[in-house]
Amino acid sequence: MASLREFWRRYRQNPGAVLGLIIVLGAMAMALLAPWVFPDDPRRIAGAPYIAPFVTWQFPLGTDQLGRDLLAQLFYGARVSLLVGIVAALGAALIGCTIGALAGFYGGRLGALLMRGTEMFQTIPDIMLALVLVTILQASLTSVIISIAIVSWTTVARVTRAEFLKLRSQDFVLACIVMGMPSWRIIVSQIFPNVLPPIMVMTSIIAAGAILAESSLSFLGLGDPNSVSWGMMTGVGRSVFRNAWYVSGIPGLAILIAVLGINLVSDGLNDALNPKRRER
Amino acid sequence: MTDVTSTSGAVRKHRKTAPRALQVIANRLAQAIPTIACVLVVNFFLVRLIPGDPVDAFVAKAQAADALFKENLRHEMGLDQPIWVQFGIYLWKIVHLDFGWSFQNSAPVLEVILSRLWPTVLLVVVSIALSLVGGVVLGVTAARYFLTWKDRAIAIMSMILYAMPAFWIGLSLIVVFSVKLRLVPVGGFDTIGSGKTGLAYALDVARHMVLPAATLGLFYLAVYTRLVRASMLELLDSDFVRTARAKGLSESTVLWRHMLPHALLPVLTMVGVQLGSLLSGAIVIETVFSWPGLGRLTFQAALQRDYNTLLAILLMSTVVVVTANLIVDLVSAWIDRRMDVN
Repeated sequence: MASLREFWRRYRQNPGAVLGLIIVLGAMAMALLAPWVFPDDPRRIAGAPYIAPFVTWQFPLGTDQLGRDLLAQLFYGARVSLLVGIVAALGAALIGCTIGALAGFYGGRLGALLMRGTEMFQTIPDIMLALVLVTILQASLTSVIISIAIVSWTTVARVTRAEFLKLRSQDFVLACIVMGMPSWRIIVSQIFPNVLPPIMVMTSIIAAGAILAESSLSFLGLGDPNSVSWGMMTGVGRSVFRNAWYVSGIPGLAILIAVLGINLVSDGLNDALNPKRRER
Repeated sequence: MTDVTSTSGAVRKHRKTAPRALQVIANRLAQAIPTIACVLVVNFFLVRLIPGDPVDAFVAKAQAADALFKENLRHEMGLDQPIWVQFGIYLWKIVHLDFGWSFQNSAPVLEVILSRLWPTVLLVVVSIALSLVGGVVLGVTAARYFLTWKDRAIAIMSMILYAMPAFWIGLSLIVVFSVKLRLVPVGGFDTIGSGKTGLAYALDVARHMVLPAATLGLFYLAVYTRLVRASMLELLDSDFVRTARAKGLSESTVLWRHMLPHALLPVLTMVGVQLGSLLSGAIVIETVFSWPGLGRLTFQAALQRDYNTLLAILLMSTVVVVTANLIVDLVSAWIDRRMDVN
């Protein structure tokens, strides 16, 4: 508890990180409150088409070319964008941690093989592979999440391996080995908690990247066709952006702000979790 | 791919007397070949993930549903063979640069890809050049004015660029520079039917390329700015910098002549590592700007479920990235002979 308070004291010293946290919490509130604030289907035609933002109270952000409420879609879009970002990042962290931990703890041939595999994955163009996967698995929220997780785990694997290598030869780990503790328990209960901070930072960076990746796929019309997401909204507005920039401009701005917020939070996490590295 | 393997054999023979550069090639080839092999295997099994088999896909496109026709086609494509034979057939075809037929374009996949290659190469090279030059200037400036308002402004700018979705930058630039200011065209590769040749044509293409290249480059501008700044700051305390300063050299000489070449090494490696992402970024940007390159082809192939084209592009992009990384390693080794490649 004391360390948590200490963490928060260090975190809030960074004004950017606090701003980022406010943005992220705001986006989460939008996602959670969407059904209460806008009980109707966000894709229903609610009014006249092409109402500009800040013109009427009924549609504060205006309407798109079909007369759908942009603000309502923005609230529902937050659900999809954040869900994809969080779940894909957690999936990537799970894959990356497993591979990194095995490579770092056992080293030798297994480690070399796993790291070769990681390097190979890093070479394959990421969004291109995700796009191929989504096309082959058929577009749905699940396939989008799986595809993004599959292309984003490599950095976690490298970080985890490096940290495991560092801790592998430390006294407390050697003591556990001498005590006859099984390897999996040493990995999970002894080393892993010490490795968690950099993995948390990495995972939040991946979440920001995953939101961008989802928005690209949805923008291209390859995302889940049944759910509203910010990328999809930008894609829908693309055909009319010469006359009505706001239809794609506003959801694009939402993506920018959300990703910026998450990046600020990960910077803050990094500073607060590694006080020694603050100067960078 | 075949000549790549033969070079590797030649390198191995001369290893003992080989200069450093050749050793680097040998080491990297030892990594590059399994990578490509791995992508081949992934590609092969990805095709098998598709619901139904290639014959179903073909028949759906050709709108012919005769059972006997399907059976013959399966036999012809080797789909009635055991899976390892199928993999052998697949490899045999790839080695002979036979990527199959593109249903969407009614032409061999290789032909389609080659016709779209040049615009993408042009776009990617120009974007990398723009973002590198911009990143170096901004990164060095930020390091020079470390923790002053200039440094902070550059940091905030790159933070925002880093969070911008590429398609949104593209759309915004089109609205401002094409629709409102009418300075550059909205999209396309050249003015259709303009009949321009020579320099006039090159200028026409350049005018079309300004916005897509800027859009693709802006994200990497942020990446390289941060990287150059960080690696410059890391060098600030090193002995050679102190010596250069002690000799009374001007600050800009120390920064640009002495520190920058060292700071560029990690940036160069990054360019190689990120080439894959850059090619991925081209998918969105070429689609936004109707740029007739590989990225737009990828998008169209995905929409039309043209799997042959899609998988061939994935394979060839990986080969390009692997090759580019090889070149980057060589250049790095050449810039800094002492660099430890492993």
